[in-house]
Amino acid sequence: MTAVRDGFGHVEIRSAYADSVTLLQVSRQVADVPGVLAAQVAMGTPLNLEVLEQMGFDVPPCTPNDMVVALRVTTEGDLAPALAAVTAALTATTRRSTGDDEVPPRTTRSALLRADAGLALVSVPGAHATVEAMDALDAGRDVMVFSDNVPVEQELLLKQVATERGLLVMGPDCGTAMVGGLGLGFANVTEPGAVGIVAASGTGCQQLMCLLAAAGVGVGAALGVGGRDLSAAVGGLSTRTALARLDADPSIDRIVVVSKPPAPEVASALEEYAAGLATPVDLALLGPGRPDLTAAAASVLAALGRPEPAWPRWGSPAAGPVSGYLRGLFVGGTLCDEAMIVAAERLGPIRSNIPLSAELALDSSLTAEGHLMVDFGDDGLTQGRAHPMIDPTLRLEHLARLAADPATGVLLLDVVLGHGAEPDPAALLAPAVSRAIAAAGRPLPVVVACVGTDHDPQGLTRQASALAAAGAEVHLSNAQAARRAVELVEGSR
Amino acid sequence: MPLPPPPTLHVVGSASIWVLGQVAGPRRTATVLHAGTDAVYLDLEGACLAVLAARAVQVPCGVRTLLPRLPEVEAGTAASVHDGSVIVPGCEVLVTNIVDTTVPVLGADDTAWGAEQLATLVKERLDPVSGLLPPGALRLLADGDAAVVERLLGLGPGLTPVGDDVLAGWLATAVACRHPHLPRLRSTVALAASERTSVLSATLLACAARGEGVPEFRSLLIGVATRNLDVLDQSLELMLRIGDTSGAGLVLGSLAALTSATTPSTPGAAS
Repeated sequence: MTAVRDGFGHVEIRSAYADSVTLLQVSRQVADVPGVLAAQVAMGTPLNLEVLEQMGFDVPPCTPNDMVVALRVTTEGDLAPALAAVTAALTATTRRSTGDDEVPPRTTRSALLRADAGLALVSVPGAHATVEAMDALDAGRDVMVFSDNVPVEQELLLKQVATERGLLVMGPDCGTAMVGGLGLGFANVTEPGAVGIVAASGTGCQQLMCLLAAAGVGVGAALGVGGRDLSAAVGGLSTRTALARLDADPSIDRIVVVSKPPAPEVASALEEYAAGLATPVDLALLGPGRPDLTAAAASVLAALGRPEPAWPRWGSPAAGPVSGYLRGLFVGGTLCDEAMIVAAERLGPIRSNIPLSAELALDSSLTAEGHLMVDFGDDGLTQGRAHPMIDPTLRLEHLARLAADPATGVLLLDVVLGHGAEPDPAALLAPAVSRAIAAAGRPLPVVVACVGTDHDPQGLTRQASALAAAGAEVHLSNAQAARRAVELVEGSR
Repeated sequence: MPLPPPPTLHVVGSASIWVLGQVAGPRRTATVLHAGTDAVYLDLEGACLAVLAARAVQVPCGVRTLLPRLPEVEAGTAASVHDGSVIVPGCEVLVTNIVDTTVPVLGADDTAWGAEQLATLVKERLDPVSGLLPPGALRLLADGDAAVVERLLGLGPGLTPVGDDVLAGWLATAVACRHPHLPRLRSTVALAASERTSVLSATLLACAARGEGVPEFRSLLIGVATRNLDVLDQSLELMLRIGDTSGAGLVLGSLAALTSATTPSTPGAAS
């Protein structure tokens, strides 16, 4: 036990394993124990160790197979109850997972033999996902691979095998889908309708669904295909299968394909394929010079004979212009991509961990002089920890750091609501925004894109209002939020 | 035979418990019998061990990898097994996943239900395979007449002749339903297989005689054991996609065993 900033620090290594979502729950439960200032229970991946060091913990040597328990307590006497709370929380999660008398199936195939399921959802660490996905394909089932960190050559193999067998592989890193009226992964609650979505982008799909919902248009199906499906390496294999499925679905009248910036040759081939289908297809493929997702939603509405509404916004318009750089912190990769494309047209190069071109890549510090945007959902930042739509720790740490940087002119954030996401993201983010604005000691506009619907468990209006009350300017449209942020810094140039 | 150079590719694979037993322990040498992009077959002290690419069927004597294609290997070169791994030239495969290839136990009522439902589901779809068999062979099989082994063993082209597939389907199902003629046919096949068919096929027949088959076959019989028509139907479709005739041959043999185990001529067969 060592005295650290704000109390006493304690770090111990345990030879144990639990998944990232379980450990996040354990961390939160322990953080609520009286006398605990901070609690992080996580597997010892390099990324997690870096976070712990940034939090002021001195972590002894360990491996990604070790569990690190890091606590900061007010007094030395608070340590024992905190450690007891860690043990109790871990034990409780173990008990929960074995509470059923029925012996759980040992393999994906044997699980599928027990259930009349048409689709298997694979959510295991990326290194093991392909085996399970192949097991599902062998059992003749479509598969949604929620896992990320799956090598692209394994993705290609899965999709080739699936295509040969007339099956669909959704993913890897497929965060969002709606199949048979059921939302899978991170999914917003919208009214059913006759629009079908094929999405090589989880948060892009969510943005489109929520914009359409705000305009009164429902979605009948959303088939995620993974963010790399329209890359040159994968060639759109699952996008074609998904398009064929929706084309054959009599309840779908119009299809929209949403994607992060695709490989040009794959986009051309896809355009040709889509033109041959009986159902009209709109291609919402992000890229410089192409329409953003809000413009794509407007096109769909126009095709359906619906007017484009005034997209909702909350809070007072942020005061500007301000001097400094635009800094974006995102949980949605496509939302980050879209914001970079919008901003780059006016501000020039944007540095990022998912850069629009290789020379703009950030190093592992995720900081740089100039405009920058970080996608905290990228594979490199989710190894051994939950997605930032579930665990906001990394982004909140970074938010405080960027706000304290006098070079930061405007902060641009996203919040993604829906099933699977944090139950109340504003509960942590709104105070963090307030603190950032107050601590900056200068005007610091914060612009937020809040993607959701009022039917979502978190409630769009409730979340957006809380963020607005904290001082943020909040938009449903990510593109509009990005444009506002650009206006605020651009005016000072 | 000299040992191969150290492998440059290290991957993991899935296999049955039987295969795990074969590859465990101190180093033993093997020889490459046949090699293709989807499968490399080794002769390991008289039994066949297969290294499989991702698209290959998970045969009960194989280690299946997630490689799109296997490294080029020449027949006749040296390979080895050691401490849970299979090592072929250029590639080491460590068995990390266990695949259950064993058939379930079928009660008498389940067996009768399975015979009826499977016959209804297959309709005429097995006729092309039946047509490849000698006249009367299926009748002999139903009667448990050991003479059928001579008629079927090694019949057909390829590494797993269709006659062997039919026998393997019969044997694995006979283990599941405690067929009264199992001991007779099992011993006849065991005696003749090494002389009359390929090492791979003889190994698969030995697996079947222990009640092991491809996972799709296991699923088919689980459909029978649980009287789940959906599982039976889906597994049948998957079986019929295996090979040109292999899957259909296995189903034909299975249907013959299910049917004859419950006929009046074999009282108490499935008790």
